[in-house]
Amino acid sequence: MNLPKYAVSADDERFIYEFGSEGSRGSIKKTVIYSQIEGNLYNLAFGDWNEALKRLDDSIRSNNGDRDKILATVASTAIDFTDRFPQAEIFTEGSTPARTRLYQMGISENLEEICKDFDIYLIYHILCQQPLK
Amino acid sequence: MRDYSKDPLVIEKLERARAFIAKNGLPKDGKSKKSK
Repeated sequence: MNLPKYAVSADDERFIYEFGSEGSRGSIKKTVIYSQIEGNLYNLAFGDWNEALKRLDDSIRSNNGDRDKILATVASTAIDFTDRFPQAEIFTEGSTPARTRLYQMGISENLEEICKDFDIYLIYHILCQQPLK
Repeated sequence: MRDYSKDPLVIEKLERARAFIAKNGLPKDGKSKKSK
């Protein structure tokens, strides 16, 4: 996908990706973590680094004016991760139903291109209790 | 690079994912990345 995205730094094993969001609210460190659930199934966690609390936070609304660029960057980490682990299946969920919906919309907008390389399954969301697709 | 393995968010998300899958399962014919 040829969308604007941030440069990403990754750990040697490609489980951790870090990048900086640059916008009207300054520079915000973002992190994507892939954690093994079982077998080839991995969870994607994404959040802002909270320097004061020394932990990730996915409830913050950064409002840095670069939402689409951030989504494209997170997507690029999924591409890189699956280049490293071709058999991987990635599970993810937004911190709120609205964010899950946002991620779904991002996928839908680029579905044709995504489906060239990936099979996408959108299954029941535990809060909405209805299929997202 | 920072070690996030003990980060509360990472742990929470992993536990939620495991609980979700235990309850709802996954597509039986789940596929991986297509071969290029």
